[in-house]
Amino acid sequence: MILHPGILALLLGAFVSLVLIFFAALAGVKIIVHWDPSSSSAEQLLLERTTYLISTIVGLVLCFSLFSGLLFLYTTDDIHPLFIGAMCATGTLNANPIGWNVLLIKGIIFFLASLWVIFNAIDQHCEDTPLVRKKYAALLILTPLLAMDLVLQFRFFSGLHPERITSCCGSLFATGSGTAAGELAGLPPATTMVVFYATAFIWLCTVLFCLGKRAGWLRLLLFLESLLLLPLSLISVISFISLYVYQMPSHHCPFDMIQKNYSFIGYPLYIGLFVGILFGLVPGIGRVLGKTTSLKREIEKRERKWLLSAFVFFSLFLVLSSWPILFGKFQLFPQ
Amino acid sequence: MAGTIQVERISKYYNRNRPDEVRALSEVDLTIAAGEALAVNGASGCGKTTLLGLVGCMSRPTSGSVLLDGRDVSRLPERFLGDIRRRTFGFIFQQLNLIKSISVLENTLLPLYPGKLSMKEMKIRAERILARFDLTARAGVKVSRLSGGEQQRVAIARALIHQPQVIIADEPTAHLDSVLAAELLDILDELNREGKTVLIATHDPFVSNHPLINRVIRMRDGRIVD
Amino acid sequence: MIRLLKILEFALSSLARRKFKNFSIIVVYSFTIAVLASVLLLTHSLKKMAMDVLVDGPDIVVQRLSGGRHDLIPADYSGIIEKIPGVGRVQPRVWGYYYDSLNHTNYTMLGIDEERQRFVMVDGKAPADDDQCMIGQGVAGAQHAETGMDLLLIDGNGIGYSCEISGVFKAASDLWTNDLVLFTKDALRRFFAMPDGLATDITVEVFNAREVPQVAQKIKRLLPDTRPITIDEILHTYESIFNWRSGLMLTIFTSSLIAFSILAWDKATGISGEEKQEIGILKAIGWDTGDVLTLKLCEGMVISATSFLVGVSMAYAHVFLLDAPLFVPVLKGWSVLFPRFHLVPYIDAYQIIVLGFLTILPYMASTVLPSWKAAITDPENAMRGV
Ligand SMILES: Nc1ncnc2c1ncn2[C@@H]1O[C@H](COP(=O)(O)OP(=O)(O)O)[C@@H](O)[C@H]1O
Ligand SMILES: [Mg+2]
Repeated sequence: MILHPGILALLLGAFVSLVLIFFAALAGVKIIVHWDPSSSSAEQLLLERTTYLISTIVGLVLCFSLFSGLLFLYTTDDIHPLFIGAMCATGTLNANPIGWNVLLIKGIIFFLASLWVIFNAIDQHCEDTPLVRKKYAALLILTPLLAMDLVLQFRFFSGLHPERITSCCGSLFATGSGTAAGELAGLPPATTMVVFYATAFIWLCTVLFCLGKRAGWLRLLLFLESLLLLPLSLISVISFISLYVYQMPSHHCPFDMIQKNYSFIGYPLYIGLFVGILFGLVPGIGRVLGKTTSLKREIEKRERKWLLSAFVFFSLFLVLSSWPILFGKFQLFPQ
Repeated sequence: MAGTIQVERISKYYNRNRPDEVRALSEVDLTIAAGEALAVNGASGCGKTTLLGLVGCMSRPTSGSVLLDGRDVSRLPERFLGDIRRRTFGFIFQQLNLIKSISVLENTLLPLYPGKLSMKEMKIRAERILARFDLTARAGVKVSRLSGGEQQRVAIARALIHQPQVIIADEPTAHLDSVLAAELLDILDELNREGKTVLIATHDPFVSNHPLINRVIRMRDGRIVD
Repeated sequence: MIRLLKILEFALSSLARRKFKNFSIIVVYSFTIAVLASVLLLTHSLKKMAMDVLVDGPDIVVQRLSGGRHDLIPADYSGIIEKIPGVGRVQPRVWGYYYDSLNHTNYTMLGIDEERQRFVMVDGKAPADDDQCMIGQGVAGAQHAETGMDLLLIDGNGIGYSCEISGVFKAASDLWTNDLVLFTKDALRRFFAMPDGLATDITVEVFNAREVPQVAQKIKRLLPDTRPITIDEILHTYESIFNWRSGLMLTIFTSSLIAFSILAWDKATGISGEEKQEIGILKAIGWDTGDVLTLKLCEGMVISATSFLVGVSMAYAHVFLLDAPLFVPVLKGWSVLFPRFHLVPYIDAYQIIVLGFLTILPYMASTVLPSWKAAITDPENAMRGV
């Protein structure tokens, strides 16, 4: 186990989040079992008041998880000199591949917690709180995820052995290295580019159609497209966007761009991507959940905002990632 | 004109299903028309405060319903009651419930913090209402420094800042001497003439006999007796 | 949004009203943060300074092993190493340590020839002949030595030797100048009684940083009696030492922080009767549970943020302006590695986030429950004056 301040902070954060969400889930179970809106007993009143506690906790946990994702990347980057061969966060993650799972879990937690917060807010605007049971059942999924986050981080950091020689982005994302990531990086940039831009274009069009038409299937389509577009975008970042950002023909690292050398361009880029996709997912879920009239009304009130956010944020991602391709000096395909 | 209140067969139990269960109200029916001034009379412990609390959305009845302008609010989650309370009712409490360590102006502003008004609009409103009750000169003074009559007027100013339809006053004259009590009732009379519904709980005959009051109902043991 | 700002404003005025209680929380809290932040800033700065020195250094240092121990290396090995593709400048170094029993200090002595122009002089010039030397600014300050004075030393054969100080040099990091004395290579070889043709070690520059491990392997293959040490390995040793140290200290202090959180929790739970009554009033006049909860969380946030700013500023002053006097006893172990020096102020977003995680997060988490408990006060209570 490496005793590094960042690692301690991450483990502490994960532990505190887990304790909080655990209590929230326990209270949630009580609500699932005893919730009875027609009763005006003191118990029901207490349950209603408990919903405030749970909302606050999930909000805090979401907030913590955002910072913890950032801290995780920073920390893996900060300790890379411990591993011979590592040159950035990628090297540390390769020193113990559980790290990649940690990133994945953190991503899932971000999306689930955000969706929870969004739909909780809607539900609380409905007098009949139609989502109560579903909401607290969803908490029961979030809790084990946070537990996994803690366990995986612990296993990741305790399994990091400084003696180990690791491979870094240079070799991980090196074409023909045999790794999955290498395969990604080795995807022919031209084909990836075409597929990515075509999908992004279709996605944006779907968003626009959703803005114009109220058909449910369009929202579901957008949901599915978002699920497809997220991994595709990440692949594209590794495959060709990074090359243009770094202006180097073989630098495929997805993390370097959040560093100062690249004027922190990674932050707006990834925020655009994640928030855009998030709001692409919301309308579809809203359609599936919005069975009661009160929910439908609340969802319709917000849907425009969601779709516009999805459009704006994803466009931010597109612009930031296409800018160096269109206007940068670096050219992947010499004319 | 909005402000009609219908109370239908409401009961209120405290500590339900426990040995110390109390039935504070049983099956009360009551209709209060908009613009009416109603006095609820009765001995201490007969359920006046409980009734006012239920009408004013402070709590929910154990059974029965409360309708505000035809809308049933008795089953709403607590989350929605605060908003309705703010918009519909102005409360004048028996023990004033002012925060003593802050100024008159700040006390008057209190109900407006959760709302959408900007700080500037809030101040304009508060100044207007303080002027109405001759409190402009005292706006910056801590409440603890005020005389009893002034404190009473601050409490009224605060109750009115939301421009509520209904004024609910629970034993408002209990701690006042007869001069202040008369002054208070005159203010309430004025408000009633502006069209506001006034609902007063009291066991003070002086209040029930005041010309302001249109109707008096009497309670005993959680029931309306006439 | 406007609601949040207004409630925040109210939270500020309400905190100001309970000056004594909140002030005492902030004092204890910021002191805890200051201690934690001092550890972090100090170790980070030390690490950074050490790294800066190393990063400027060679990519590979080649030592000779004899019987498993470090031995002098034939200077002509450099000719063999130079032929490896990708290798830049290769240089035999002559250096060693010297304990000055007169002044009770350790010097690092380094022989220089053509590298001398790399040193920035504050005074005088580089040693021109074998009877001259130049010293670092730190040494000059500590020994009250200056250009033109003589440095009295006892050489490897036990014979006294006086050497004129020809100049004083400076460097970005104090680590460089605190104990460094530079001679010509020949003079130093004579001083250490080192046979001609041998050197302490050989430094190797590699053009492409990614080829360092391969070059090191080749050197090992070509010259089996040597041990090539790459800069990565040195960096990583330093990292381990620093992380372990600061981690250990942080563990101790984090536990004290957790103790503090429990204290804060206790304090916040014990909401005074006056505060409880206020919350009852707020709820009676139309504040919702959510509004009161927001108020309480805002208060917690303001307290955390204030304490955080105060604590970090205190730590900054403690470490960088006063050179961490409170940690001197704890840091004894480091004084061997580093003599006296002035810490270079160094602080970045990463440290701030780490500190925030270690301090603000537990505090906020511990205030959630008491805040909620206060917020669910029954509005009806206000009607009955409870
Ligand atoms: N929180 C409570 N718990 C238990 N009993 C209560 C509570 N509040 C009021 N009561 C009881 O309910 C009855 C009616 O009280 P209240 O409405 O305050 O009467 P009034 O205002 O006419 O004096 C009383 O017997 C009182 O003791
Ligand atoms: Mg009463």
